[in-house]
Amino acid sequence: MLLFASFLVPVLASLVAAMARDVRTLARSAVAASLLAAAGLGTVAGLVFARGPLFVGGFWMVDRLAAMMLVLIQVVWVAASLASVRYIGAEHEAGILSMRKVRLYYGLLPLFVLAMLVTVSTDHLGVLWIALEATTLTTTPLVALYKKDGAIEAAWKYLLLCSLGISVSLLGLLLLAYAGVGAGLPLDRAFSLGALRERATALDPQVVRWAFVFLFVGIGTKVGFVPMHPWLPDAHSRTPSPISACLSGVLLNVALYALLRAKAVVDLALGRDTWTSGFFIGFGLVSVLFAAFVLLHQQNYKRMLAYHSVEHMGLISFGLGMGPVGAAGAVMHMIGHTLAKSALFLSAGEILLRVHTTKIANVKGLWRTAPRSSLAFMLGFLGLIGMPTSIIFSSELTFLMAAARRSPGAAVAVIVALAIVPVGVLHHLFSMLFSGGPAADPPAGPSETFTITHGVVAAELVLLFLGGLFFLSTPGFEWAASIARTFTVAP
Amino acid sequence: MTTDLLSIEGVCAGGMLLTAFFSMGRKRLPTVLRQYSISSACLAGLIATHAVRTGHPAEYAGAIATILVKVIGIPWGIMSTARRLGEMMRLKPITRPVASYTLAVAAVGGAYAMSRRLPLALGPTLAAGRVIPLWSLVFVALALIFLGFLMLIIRRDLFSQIIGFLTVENGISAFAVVALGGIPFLTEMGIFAAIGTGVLLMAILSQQVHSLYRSHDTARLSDLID
Repeated sequence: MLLFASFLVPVLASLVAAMARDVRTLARSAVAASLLAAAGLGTVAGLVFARGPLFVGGFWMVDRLAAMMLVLIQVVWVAASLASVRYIGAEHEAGILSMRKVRLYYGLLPLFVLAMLVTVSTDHLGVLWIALEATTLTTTPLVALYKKDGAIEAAWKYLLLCSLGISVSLLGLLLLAYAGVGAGLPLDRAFSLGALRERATALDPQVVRWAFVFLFVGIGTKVGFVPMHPWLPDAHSRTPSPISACLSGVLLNVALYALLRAKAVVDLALGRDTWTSGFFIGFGLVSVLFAAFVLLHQQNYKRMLAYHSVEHMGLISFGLGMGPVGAAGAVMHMIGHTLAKSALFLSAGEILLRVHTTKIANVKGLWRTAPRSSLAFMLGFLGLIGMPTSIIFSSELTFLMAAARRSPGAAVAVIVALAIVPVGVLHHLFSMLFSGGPAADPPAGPSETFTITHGVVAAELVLLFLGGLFFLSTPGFEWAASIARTFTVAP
Repeated sequence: MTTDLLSIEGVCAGGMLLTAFFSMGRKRLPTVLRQYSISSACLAGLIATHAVRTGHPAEYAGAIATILVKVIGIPWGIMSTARRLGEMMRLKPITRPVASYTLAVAAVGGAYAMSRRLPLALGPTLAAGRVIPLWSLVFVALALIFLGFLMLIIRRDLFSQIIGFLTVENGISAFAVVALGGIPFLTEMGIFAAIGTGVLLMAILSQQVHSLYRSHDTARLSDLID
């Protein structure tokens, strides 16, 4: 009941947004809704970790992986709602966003969150597909919100490519259901992931293989694997920063979650994980290497963050291909990436509000004019590139150790990419924060004050760096491994 | 009765494939939309024959929904949008008709090869008693998907891209009918709603693209290339 009551909260928040008359009411109701849902879903997640998976009817299932995803979605929703008070309020005051657009923003954000919550809580392939497609449909108007500077172009690419990808994945889901019918399940039950897992050994391995190919290519488009990624840097860099934080921080993980659910069925059907691991390792490596080189010559800091998402989805995918230990590292990385990326996009929003540009070349001497945002941006990046003791350090250490045993050549390739990335990142970062010169004259304006966004980012960074210590401990690793066991098969 | 149904099924599948194939070389929006409508009507026929065979009322509802949404609603919506924007009736293929048809033959050939490799011939529920082998219907579904993708690649205008997406989606719907005998009703309606909303958003975005760039040429959408 608590799960469904929590699902009602975003619906009500969206209805309130449609009726509210001023920005303040909109912002307050959004924050209240996100906190209320966080309390409800936090309790659900706590119960799942304490007592075991939750099954409701034939449609809903929350295990440890789903519970983790519920918490990540809520963390990012709360962070985005709080940051929106400042960001959307400032853009409304500046005349960039009209009241109609602000209402659209606050109306769609909770529906987008609801679609993600349904995706990770359902056990039904059809509902999962509809909810995943709904994440695209609810965010397309948000990508197009500014209606200028490529926003419409970004929205068109986003909608077309992601919808096509999701359509291809539908073919994969239908093939899985077909395999289920072949294994003796009635049509209704053939769409249940739980039922498919139970009958996995009776599924036709050939059909299941084809199903996974379509699923991987289709949902992989939504995850942002290279070469299906072109929509990602455009869409993630053109939306308001709190939405970028949601898209990059958690939506990519939600899409990956759908792929993990399919992987669990396919691995059980084939009796081993090496076949699906090949896909994760291959696409992961290509994504990491491609993003590493693109990052060297990025000229736009929001786009740079978006390409980092391509890189990190590649890293997570690589970890997933490295057996149970690598999968535990991938789980840690999903958490670390959510915290680091949402903190970075929210900090980028603060910087954008101050300098009114996303071009790296036009941002100079930020450390002097906006020390709080600069510090947050710098720490976020250091966490993202794996500085001890961030969670990303722990996760990379974990799956690289697994890779060194399982696939040393691939491990070397990832290490090379991980060595290239900081070169580009630190060059751009130091250019923005510390360089001077003719273009260094900062825009005239009041000195920076501590905002609600700084508070949110600080909390996320504390979690990012303390979480790394937790995951380096045995209980931390065991906790991540227990989540990974929900989608891996024992060797 | 069964033989009649299978004949109708064969005609519907053939109609879907032929209309999708011949739309590849067409340059006028009304013609391409008309062919999409006919293709969708054939899909509705395919669903209806299956409904007659199984007697499930939900499948009749699926056939009616297909007619209302895909045969009438979507083509009407796209045509209205195009008329409102003006100058949009001529589409922009990047290949000549002969080249387009050659590529379409290759796409259909690829679908044929793939349908023979897909291990669906042992389909447990529907294969029994079929005169038309299951793989041939799967071939039609895959051919539609491949032709839809081809249209997305060789056309550089917004409306052709929407129709390409819809052709892919028709292929997937056909696959659901022929391989699985349809999908649960509520799921099917949810998928209908998701696709309908997607096409509506595409129509709105195409208007916004046109108002920004004064063109429906997707080659103009190149501000964001690295």
